[in-house]
Amino acid sequence: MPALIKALQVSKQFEKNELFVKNKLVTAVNNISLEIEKGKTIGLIGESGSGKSTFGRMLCGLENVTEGEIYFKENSITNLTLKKMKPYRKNIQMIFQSSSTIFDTFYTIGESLEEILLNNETISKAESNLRINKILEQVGLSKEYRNRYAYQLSGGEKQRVNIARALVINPEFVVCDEPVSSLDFTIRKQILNLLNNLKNNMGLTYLFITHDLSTIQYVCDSVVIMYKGKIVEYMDDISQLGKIAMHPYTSILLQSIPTTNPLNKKICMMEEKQSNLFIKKSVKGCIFADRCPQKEEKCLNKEPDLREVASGHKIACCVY
Amino acid sequence: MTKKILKQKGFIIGLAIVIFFILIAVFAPYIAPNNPLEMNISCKLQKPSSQYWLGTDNLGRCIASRIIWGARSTLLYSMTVLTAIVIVSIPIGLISGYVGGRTDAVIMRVIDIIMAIPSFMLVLAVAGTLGASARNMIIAMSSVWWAGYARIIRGMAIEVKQKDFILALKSAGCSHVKIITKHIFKNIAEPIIVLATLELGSIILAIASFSFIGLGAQPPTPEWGIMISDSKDYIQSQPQLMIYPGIAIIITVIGFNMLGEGLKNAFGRKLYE
Repeated sequence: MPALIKALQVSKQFEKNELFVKNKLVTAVNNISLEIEKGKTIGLIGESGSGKSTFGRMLCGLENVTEGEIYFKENSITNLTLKKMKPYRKNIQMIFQSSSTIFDTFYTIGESLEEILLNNETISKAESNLRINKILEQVGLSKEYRNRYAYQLSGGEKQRVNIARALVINPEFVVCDEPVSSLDFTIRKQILNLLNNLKNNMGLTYLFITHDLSTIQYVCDSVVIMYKGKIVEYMDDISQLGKIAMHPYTSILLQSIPTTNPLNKKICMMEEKQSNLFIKKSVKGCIFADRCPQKEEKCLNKEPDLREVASGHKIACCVY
Repeated sequence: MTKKILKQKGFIIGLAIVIFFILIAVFAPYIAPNNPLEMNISCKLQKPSSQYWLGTDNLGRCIASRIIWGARSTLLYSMTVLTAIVIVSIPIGLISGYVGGRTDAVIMRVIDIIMAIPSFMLVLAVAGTLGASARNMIIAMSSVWWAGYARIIRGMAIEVKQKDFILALKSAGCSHVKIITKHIFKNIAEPIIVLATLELGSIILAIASFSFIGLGAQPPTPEWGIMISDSKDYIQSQPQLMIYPGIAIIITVIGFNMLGEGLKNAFGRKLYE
């Protein structure tokens, strides 16, 4: 099956202009290749600053790519201008991370949604009205919300409208950038259920960006673990997560999930050395070496490639 | 919002002064007791009377009528300058702020150059080459004062541009033009109104000063600055000739400043959020 969206060796570097120091480059995303098949949900996991949001934005054409190519259905959508990207926007949408800041506070929810619809489709006003009512209903809001402003909504309602924003034009591929991280646990489950239902009803494909391992098993089929802009582990089957051999970073992530059973609670987390979170491009060897508990001599010299250790399970580590 | 505005005494007073000033300016022909240009040498420098509410000046003209008609020219000149400034600076500021990069750098350097020229010097130069008149003063003032405005608007545009919802709008398929006109402009409209109101006071003051030194409106136009200038020879014997137009200028400027301050406080939460 051909991939719906494909990233080929994508890198992103940000220029950091400091006084007297010119063009200091910060690598946010480092040589990532990823294929997403239609109908599948991939969870992209990493700590903050690991470049996962940047990668998501690049897939949506909202951020320029420094190196590499991005294909949507075999068409290259790398670094297109706003105008040229427009035909693809209809099919590639994003659920943004902070639902409180993504609405222009001068427009009501209805006006915002209508603008999106009329931008991307040639439909009449009456038809767009129906579509807006329908999507609001689908995300579990009554149509009275159309006349509200974003600041009049609660956190959970905003997140629902945020989802409605992305899905109102029936996209095929949706990047969910930490859709539940700002919500409390009861609403979190509602939103995840909602995303699952919408996926089944509308035939969506998600890239689910999160830093929280506890939520992904709920929605994702496959999982990608990112660290400092690189993929360190890829697992085709999410149910295997934590069961089969894995990257040391993944195990640290798994151990950091608080347990729900008080009898199993750990007095303290695994001790970790403070590491330098900035990515240095010139560093030789494994990017995780300075934090790795299983580090060996060879880790410091050789940069590990992402290779397949079992069917559908890729890992970038010298030890395995 | 309305409640917050109406709670401020300063805003109410300012609004009252400004409305009063505008009404006088608009209905000057009906309010003024005499023709402001009519000279009556036989009754010059008179005390206030029922015919001449504030007395007459050195040429026997009615001071009250001249002040009332002066409000009209002040309102006309200051509004023209303000409109010109706003029309020029908003698109330039928005484009400079939104596009950024080299375009921004070029526009900002041009603005720096213009801001380095004192408006007083330019008015002097224009008056010297094209002749001193109200029109030339307006042209000279507008061509300098837009720069500072454009810079402020650019700053606000940059601030709005970096907000998350701009990225969301791009994702929603909005074009750059649409983002600028429908969203960024709407977001900075309120502070622009506040700024413009505050600025109107200083524009009125500047117009009066230019007229006073003879670079702006020319006598016998009834204009407050000219009235002060005309009566400066009588400062010792008839000081009221200067005091009346002076009070008119002060009250109007204070009125606009109070109105602007009130608006600023009311919108303040939004402006500095």
